[in-house]
Amino acid sequence: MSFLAPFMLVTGALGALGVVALHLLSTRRPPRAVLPTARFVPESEARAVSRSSRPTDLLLLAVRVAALLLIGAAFARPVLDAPGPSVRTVVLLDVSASVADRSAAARAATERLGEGGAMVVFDSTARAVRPGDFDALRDSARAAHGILSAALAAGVREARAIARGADSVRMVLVSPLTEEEFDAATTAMRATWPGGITLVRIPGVSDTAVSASPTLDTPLGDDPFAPAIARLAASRGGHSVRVVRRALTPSDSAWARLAGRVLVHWQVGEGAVTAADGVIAFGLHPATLVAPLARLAGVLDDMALASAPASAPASAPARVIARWRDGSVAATERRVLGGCVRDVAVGIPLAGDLTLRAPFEAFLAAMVEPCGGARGLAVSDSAARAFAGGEEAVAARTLAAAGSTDATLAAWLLGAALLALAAEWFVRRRRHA
Amino acid sequence: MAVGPYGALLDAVRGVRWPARRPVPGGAPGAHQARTRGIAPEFAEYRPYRQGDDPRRLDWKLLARSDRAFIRLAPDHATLGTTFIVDASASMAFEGKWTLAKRLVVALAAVAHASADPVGMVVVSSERPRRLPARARGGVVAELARTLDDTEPAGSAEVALAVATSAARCVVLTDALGDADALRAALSQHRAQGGEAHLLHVVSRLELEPRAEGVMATDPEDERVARPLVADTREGYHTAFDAWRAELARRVRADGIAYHEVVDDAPVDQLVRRIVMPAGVEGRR
Repeated sequence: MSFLAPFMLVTGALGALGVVALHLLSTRRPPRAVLPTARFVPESEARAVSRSSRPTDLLLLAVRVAALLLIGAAFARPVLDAPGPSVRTVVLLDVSASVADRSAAARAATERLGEGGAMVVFDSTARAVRPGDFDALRDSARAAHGILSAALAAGVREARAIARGADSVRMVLVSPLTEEEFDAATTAMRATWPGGITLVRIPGVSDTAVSASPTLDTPLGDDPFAPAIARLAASRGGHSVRVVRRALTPSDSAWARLAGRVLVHWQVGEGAVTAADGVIAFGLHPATLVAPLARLAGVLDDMALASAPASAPASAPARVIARWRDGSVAATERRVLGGCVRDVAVGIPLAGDLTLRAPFEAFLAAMVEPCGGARGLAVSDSAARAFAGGEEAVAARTLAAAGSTDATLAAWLLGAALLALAAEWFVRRRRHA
Repeated sequence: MAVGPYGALLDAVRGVRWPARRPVPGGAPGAHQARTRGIAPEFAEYRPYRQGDDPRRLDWKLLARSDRAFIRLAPDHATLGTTFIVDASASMAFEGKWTLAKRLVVALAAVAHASADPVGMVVVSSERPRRLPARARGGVVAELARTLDDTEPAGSAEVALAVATSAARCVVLTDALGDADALRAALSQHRAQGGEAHLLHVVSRLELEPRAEGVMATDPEDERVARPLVADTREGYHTAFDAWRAELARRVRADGIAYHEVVDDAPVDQLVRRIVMPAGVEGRR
C-alpha cells in the first residue's frame, strides 16, 4: 500500500503526538479541599492543568490517537499496489480521413499495445476500443477529420484506468499528425499528460490541400453559379472538379472514377419552392448558408439510394457532408473508385444575388473540396517532436493522484475513524459520569 | 481550678492585667478606673457642696478655714464585665482556628477574672447559642473551658445578634467570614453605648499561605462555592484575601473597635499580651 498524499499521514501523526502531549498536560479537576476563604479564589474554569510523567487515561488516549491516525491515513489517499506489468501502454490510433492506410496503422498500433494496455481510436471523436472492436473499425468507412484534443482526453482517461497496478504508463500516438488535427484545445489537453508521447508517424493521404478548380456543366445559359465558380477557379487553379447542374449521365460517372476527381451533382431545381432556411457544410472550413433555399426532393431520393449498401464493390457508403438546420441531410459524398460523387439537395434561387455573396462562396468551396474532405499538411518533424515531448512514461502514482482514485480504502479508514471517535465519546462520557 | 490542658497557658499569662481602654461606668469596686468620683483615701479634687450630698464627705478643715463647704472627691474604681462571643461556625473548624479561639478565650478570661471582672461567654453556631452569663465567682474560667471543649464548630453562625446581650466589654472571636458587616455595625453600636469592643480576627496560616498543590477549594459553609486554587489563581487569591483583610481592619478600627488579627500558629500567651495592651501603647509599638 502506498499513499498519494503522505503529508496528511504526517499531519495525522503530529496530531496524535499532540494528543499524547495533552494527556501529559491533562486538565482535570483537582481534588477537593476545604478552605473557608475559597470565596477569594478568582472564579475560573473548575479544571486545572497538571503535569504528569505518564500519560493519563491510557484507554482514552489510545482511542484518540487511533482516530487521528485513521483520519490522517484516510486523507493521505491510500492506494493498494496490485501486481501487474511494470509499464503499460495506451495507444492513440488515428483513423481519420488523414490516414492513407488504416490497416497499416492498425498493425502498427497493435504491435505497440502490450499486455494490459488500452487502445483509443479517434477521428473527430475518440473512443476506447477492445481488440475485437478495433478489427471492425480498421476497415470502417468513416472519413472524418481527426481531432487530437479529443484523443488526448480519452487517452489520459484510459491511462488513469490502466495505471492501477502498474508502475508507469506510456502513451503512443499512431498518426500522420496533420495540421488539421490540431485545434485550440490541443495544447491544453497535451498539458494534461505529464509525460512524453511516443510518436509513430504513418503515411497520410497525399497531402492534398491541393485546390480544386471546378468547371461548370449547366443547362442554363445564365446560371448564377457561373460567377462564383469562376472566382474559385481564378483563386485556386487546377482542374479536377466538375459541377453538374443537370441529371447525371454514365459519362459523368465514368469521369468521376479517376483518382482525384470530384463530381458535384447540384441540380438547378427549377420551379422548386424556396423558403428561409439554413444549411451547414462540414469541411475543413465549415460553412453556413442562411438564405431562401429549396430542399430538392428528387435529389434526396437519389441520396437515399446512394446511402443504401453499394452493389458495386468499388462503391462505399455515402457520408454526409452537409445538413439542414433541422438535421436532415442536405448533401452527401460517395466514393466511386478513385474519385467521388457529391449530391447536393440545396436549391439555390436563380434570381437574386445570393451566389455573389461570401456565405455562398464558402459553402460552394466546401462542396468542391477533395474527396474525403480537405487535408491539412503534415506537421514538420520538429513540431511533431515538440508536441511529443520525449518518450518518458508517467508514474502510475502521479496519474492516480491527478485523477479520481479508488476511494474504497480511504472510505473504510474514515469509517474506522468515525468508530474510534464514537468510542472516544463513549469513553469520555463514562469518565465524566 | 480544673482547667485541664490550659494549665501551662494560664501559668504563662499569670500576672497579666487587662485594663479598660477608657473609664468604665461605676459599679462594684474593681481594678478599672471608673467615670465616677468616690470616697477613696487618695484625693482627686474639691467640689462645692450641694444639697443632698453626704455631710460626712465635707472637708471640715477647709470649711473651718474658709467658711465654705466643699466636698472632697477621690477617683473611683470599678469592675468591667467581659463577654466573649465565640464564632463556632464550620469555617472555624479549619486547621487550628478553633483551638486558637478556645485558648484565647480561656487565657483572656483568666486575665480578666484575675482583676475580679465578671466573665461570661456566648458560643454562636448553627444551633442555639450557648450562653454563660458574666460572673465573677471562682470556677467560671473552668466552666468556660469545659463549654468550649464540648463544642464542635458546625454550620453557619450569626455572631452579630449576640453582641446586644454582651457585658460592657465585648470580645468577639471570629474569622469574619459570615456576617462581617452586621458584626461591625453591632460592635460599633455597643461601643457607642459606652461599652468596649474587641474583634479578634482568627486566621489560619493555611488561609494565608495555602499549600502549593492545586486543590478545588470548597467553602465548608457553602459547598456551592468551589473554585480551583491552582498556580493560575493563587496570586489572585492572595490579592483578594489581603485586600479584604486590610479593608476589614481599616473599617473596624475606624469605628473605634479594637482589632487584632490572630493567626493560629502564633503563641497564645504573646497574643494575649498584645491584645490586653492599652491602645496607646499598642499604637506606639
